Amino acid sequence: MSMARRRDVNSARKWVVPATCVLAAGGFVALFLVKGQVSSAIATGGIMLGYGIVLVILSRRNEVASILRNDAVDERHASINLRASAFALRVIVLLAVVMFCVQLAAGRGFGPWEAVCVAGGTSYIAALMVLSRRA
Amino acid sequence: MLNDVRELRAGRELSQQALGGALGVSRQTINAIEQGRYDPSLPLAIRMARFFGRTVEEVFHVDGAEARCEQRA
Repeated sequence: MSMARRRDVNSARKWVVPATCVLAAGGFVALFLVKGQVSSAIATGGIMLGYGIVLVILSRRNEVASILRNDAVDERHASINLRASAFALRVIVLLAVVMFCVQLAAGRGFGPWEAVCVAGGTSYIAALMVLSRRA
Repeated sequence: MLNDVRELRAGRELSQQALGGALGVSRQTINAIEQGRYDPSLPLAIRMARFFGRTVEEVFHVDGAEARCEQRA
């Protein structure tokens, strides 16, 4: 991909997250207004809009905001994003396993934590199998 | 990995931002490479070396020894 084409793609891509924030804000507001929860509508809509605005403002000066906004991501940003995602995933997996054990000890039946553990384990093994052949 | 990117960039009177723009990476990535905190990928290392008119081995030093680029005659 040429540098000019890369710049065009990056220029369009950096607006996807802010646009998603606006759409999510609209969705949350509509959802809570339908249920008659005006304060929740204002709060959630404000949080999503505020997140998008903060990202747009900070991404020019802060690298974390730039990565979160997907603004001009280069190979190092992609590597940081990948490693941060892996770390967050390990935290979620640990939580799911702990909660599964808690649920097991409490004598409850199949629940959401088992589903998370099954989905996580099978998808990880499947990804290893695919990537070990392709990479 | 030790490298001479900072010296080569200074020799051309380029800012980190300008060098990053020329190579298609961010200013922070150039800074991380110069400080040895980030090792570029092979394509990026080759692009950097070609940008400065050097070979990859002349810009990046894997043996840990300090090296200074010599002015070409």
